Amino acid sequence: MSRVGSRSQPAPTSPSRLERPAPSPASPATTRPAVERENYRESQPFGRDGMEVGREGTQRAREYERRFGPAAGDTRAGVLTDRNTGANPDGENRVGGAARVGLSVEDRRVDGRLGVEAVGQTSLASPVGDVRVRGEALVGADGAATGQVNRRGVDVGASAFVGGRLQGEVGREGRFGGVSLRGELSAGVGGAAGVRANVNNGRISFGANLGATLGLGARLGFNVSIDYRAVGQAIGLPL
Amino acid sequence: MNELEVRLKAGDAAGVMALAASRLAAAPDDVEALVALASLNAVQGHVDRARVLLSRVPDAQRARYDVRLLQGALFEAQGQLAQAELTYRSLVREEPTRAGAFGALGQLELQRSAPRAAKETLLTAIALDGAVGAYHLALASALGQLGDLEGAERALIRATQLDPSDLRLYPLWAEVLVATGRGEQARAMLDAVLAQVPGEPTLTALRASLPG
Repeated sequence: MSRVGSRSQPAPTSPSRLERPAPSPASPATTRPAVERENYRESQPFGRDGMEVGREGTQRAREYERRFGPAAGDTRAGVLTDRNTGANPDGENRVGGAARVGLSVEDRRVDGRLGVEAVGQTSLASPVGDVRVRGEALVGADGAATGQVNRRGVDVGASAFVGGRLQGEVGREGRFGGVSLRGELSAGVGGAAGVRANVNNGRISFGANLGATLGLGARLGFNVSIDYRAVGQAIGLPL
Repeated sequence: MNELEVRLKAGDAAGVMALAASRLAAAPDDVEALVALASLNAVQGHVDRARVLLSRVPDAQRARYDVRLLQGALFEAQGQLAQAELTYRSLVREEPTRAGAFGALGQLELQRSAPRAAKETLLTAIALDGAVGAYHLALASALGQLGDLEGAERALIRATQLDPSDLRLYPLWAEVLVATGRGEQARAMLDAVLAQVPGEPTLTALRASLPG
């Protein structure tokens, strides 16, 4: 089986990630699978025109990995694209798409994943400032099969999940920076900041969410210690 | 709660590793030690290692609550949400007096954009164990999505009192403060947190987006 985008594939490093290297006679690109070749195309962070492939790099790629799970095994590949359509010269008007397939064989278990995502976004000027409208569609499939040999004989199990999600988002550009209101948040606040939007940035990481699921202390995930009294004093809370 | 769980909840990673290692040296299939070490690895992002550790749990012990809860969390971490939900729901049915699966299920419902269901589930988790900051944070998020900003802020304050090191708190709190017309307090709060974690990327970006 080809090892498309596997961990054994050395990650291109800046600035070579942003450049298409000259074909090497010793390792001709033409013999590689199509998806792997995309690793050598121009690659820029989501939000500018470009394409991102694989699990390295952009926030968008990490977001995608979060949705479909960490690539835990031998073979996986992902493609992410983002283009400014140019339809709105006074603001952003973008379309993007992403696809990912993954397969891992590990510890007597086979996992397969497939996901496709499409994103559209436009930014319009209004009397109250720039208003952003964004739509997102996501379809994913996830399957697993497990085999185990034990004293009782052979156990084989299988499961599968196929799901889809449509999500909409409207917000004022720049008001909350990276924190946006999306989906049901139009009626209030909370989801994006508390649980979703920040899981891929800096220390506010995936691990902390998993720790929260297990009800564990956040210090394990964030490796920081914050004094509540200083925060409470800052906004006049009783301590 | 066993000694390893106490250390996990206190964020004592070194203590967990030392104690689990010594227990596993004496008994290689010590389930509590395997679960604690697997949990620590998972929280630190090493899901594969966590899965390997969990696979060492003897067959006869795989039905344990803590083993299945961790298994559910690993499903969730790998994006296998349906399997995670099945695991949590079966735990909730089988052991309705334990908070862990309620808390995990509530947070999963929140991820699935079901704040009303999440609110009910998380209130149950908090009734069973009110000392877990993550449950209050998730409840705040659910309440915020439902438009109950006062309730969200109360839950955030409680979450911060219980576990101020959870950096996910502060963007949400800032959002609530701004949404209720208290941008000045949002800035002061973020400044106070950033004084303790200078340069934290998300909070720094958020602070920069709040002029003043």
